[in-house]
Amino acid sequence: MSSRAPDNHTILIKPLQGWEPLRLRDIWEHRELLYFLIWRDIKVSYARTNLGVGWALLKPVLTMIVFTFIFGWLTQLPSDGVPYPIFVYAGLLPWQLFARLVSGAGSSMVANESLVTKVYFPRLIAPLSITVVGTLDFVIAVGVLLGMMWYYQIALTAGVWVLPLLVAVTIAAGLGLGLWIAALNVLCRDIGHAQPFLIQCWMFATPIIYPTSLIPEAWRTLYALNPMVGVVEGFREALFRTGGQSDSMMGMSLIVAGVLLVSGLYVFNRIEQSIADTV
Amino acid sequence: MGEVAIRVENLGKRYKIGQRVRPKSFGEMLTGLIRTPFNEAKLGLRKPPAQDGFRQCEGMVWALKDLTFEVAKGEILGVIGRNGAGKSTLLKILSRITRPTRGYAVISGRVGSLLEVGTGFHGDLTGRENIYLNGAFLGMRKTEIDRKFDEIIAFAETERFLDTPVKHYSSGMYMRLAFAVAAHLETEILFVDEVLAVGDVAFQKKCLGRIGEVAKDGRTVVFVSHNMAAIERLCTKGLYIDKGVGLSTSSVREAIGLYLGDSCNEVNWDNEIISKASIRQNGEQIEIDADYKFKQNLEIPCLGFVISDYLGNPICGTNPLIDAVPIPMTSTNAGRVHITLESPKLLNGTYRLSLWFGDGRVDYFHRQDCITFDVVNMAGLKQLPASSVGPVAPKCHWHFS
Repeated sequence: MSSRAPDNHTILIKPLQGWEPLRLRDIWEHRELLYFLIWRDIKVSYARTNLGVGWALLKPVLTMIVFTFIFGWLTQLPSDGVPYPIFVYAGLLPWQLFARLVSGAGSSMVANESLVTKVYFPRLIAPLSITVVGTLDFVIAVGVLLGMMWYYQIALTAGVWVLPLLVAVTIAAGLGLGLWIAALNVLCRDIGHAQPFLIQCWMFATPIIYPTSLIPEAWRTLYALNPMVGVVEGFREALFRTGGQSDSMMGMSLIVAGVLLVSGLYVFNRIEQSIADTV
Repeated sequence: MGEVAIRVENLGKRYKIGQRVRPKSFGEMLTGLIRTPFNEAKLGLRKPPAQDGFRQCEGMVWALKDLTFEVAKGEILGVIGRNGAGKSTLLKILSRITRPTRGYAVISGRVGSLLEVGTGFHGDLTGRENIYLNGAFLGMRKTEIDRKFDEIIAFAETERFLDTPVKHYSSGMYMRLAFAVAAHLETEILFVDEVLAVGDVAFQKKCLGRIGEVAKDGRTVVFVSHNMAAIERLCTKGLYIDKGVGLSTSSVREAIGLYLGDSCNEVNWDNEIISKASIRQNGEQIEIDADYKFKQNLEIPCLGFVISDYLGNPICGTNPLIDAVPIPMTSTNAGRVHITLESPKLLNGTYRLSLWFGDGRVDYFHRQDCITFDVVNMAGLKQLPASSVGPVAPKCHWHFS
């Protein structure tokens, strides 16, 4: 009655020995599950809300309004001559994507505990799904940015071609760090509690509410080790031509994000095999 | 036939028990995380000596030890053993949820595993959505789910509620839907863990029937259950696991015999009137033994017993006075009471035994539900389920006119 394809795959189950390859093929074979997980995460995160996907717009916009009020209007922080609301929003966009990935991927194993202990799937699929959902929210929020640029009469420059690259760097850094946190969180739940605080501090170490020009020249190299510095700088440079020294910073971001992603993947892969026993 | 679907070789799994050794600092945890893989790689190169391999380290327990067996294509392996024997660990390893500590397993074919029903169900999603999500988690392709969708909802009997979030389902409906998806998983190899213990009697029967169908379809099934009757009816081969060691891959009957012979049907008490009591099924009879030692000589050792069902509802019971047993010639203060119970014949299931002991006037000893035991095929191979006709088999003379 059924037409089963005679797919002859053989599985070898053996003890864990050292660092293992990433088994990307296994993830490819589970792509349908990834699709279902993405769909679930989208569906569930806006289930029982009246605004639905509207929250993807509202969250960055509300944050922008609050920041503009406190830091732009009350504290009078400089913004390199760009109107403060759009200055802050351009920084918030990649930042919120990054923060979302770190917290989402970071808690993905503990949050899916019931699945992880009951059914096999390449564990990487859970953080990957969160990555896709986060990126979709980001794309929606970009709509507001375009609206603001029209309002402030800022024309798109030729430099926007770097934006997709910067988004990729953000994803690499966020997912990489998230995977580290997911792995460590399984070993020790303290990490889960420390993570929101980490993100909060990290935000102040990133030029979102203030321009990089406030940082003393001597400290900039160290400052740029934070991969989000280069990304935010790059975003502003591409949109507003603020004329910063974003090229070297972006290069640094690319390297740091790459290291984070690769090391995160391996550490996660390493922990993945024993998650069901320790989670 | 003849082709091997699952081969398990010296499989062992060690768990840490008790308080987990916490890394002293965050730094230690990080270095541990990075260093252990290298240590493991080194260990892997050194082959541990066979004898020394299962040394009992402190705080470590081997859930599985040196398990070796093979399952041919199309065979249905029934895995039985007491709680904690390692059955679930075996399934978890075979389903790739956890890794073994030693040994290896080779599985040829697409694998589906049902360690629980309703994996990945989400309360906010509708029945329809959950069928797809759950199916995907179990390893079904979307096209496969599309094709079987109607069958699944017909099986679950929840058509009317397809577009209702499952959190509004009754628990029975929820379980039916969950099992329906699981029951339509058609992989070449299927691991099933006691998922039959859900739903009402009629639904349980339907599920058992479904597993039987799957089996007839030439699929390989590994089935873990405490339901000996189901194991006996469905399986073609038995594996009995005791304390992590697999004892038999012979016939199902043999494995069940080992399980019954070994199931903890004996209790010992220190400094009590009854020092030891046991109950076991011997063919179509039940035998109860009790060793007693009393402070003075007894006219008759008045041992009373009650057998109850698993929930504690009494089924039958008696004692020597009620049974009007002739008083023995000599009176002693110590000895053994042996009871053979020929009727009633109990239907397949789990039962409990309670014991009393006295001198005929006063009871000096009472233990409620002190032994739990299983009965298999005491009332013959053909049986109605005890859950629908009660625990005893009637003995009738039929007359048709």
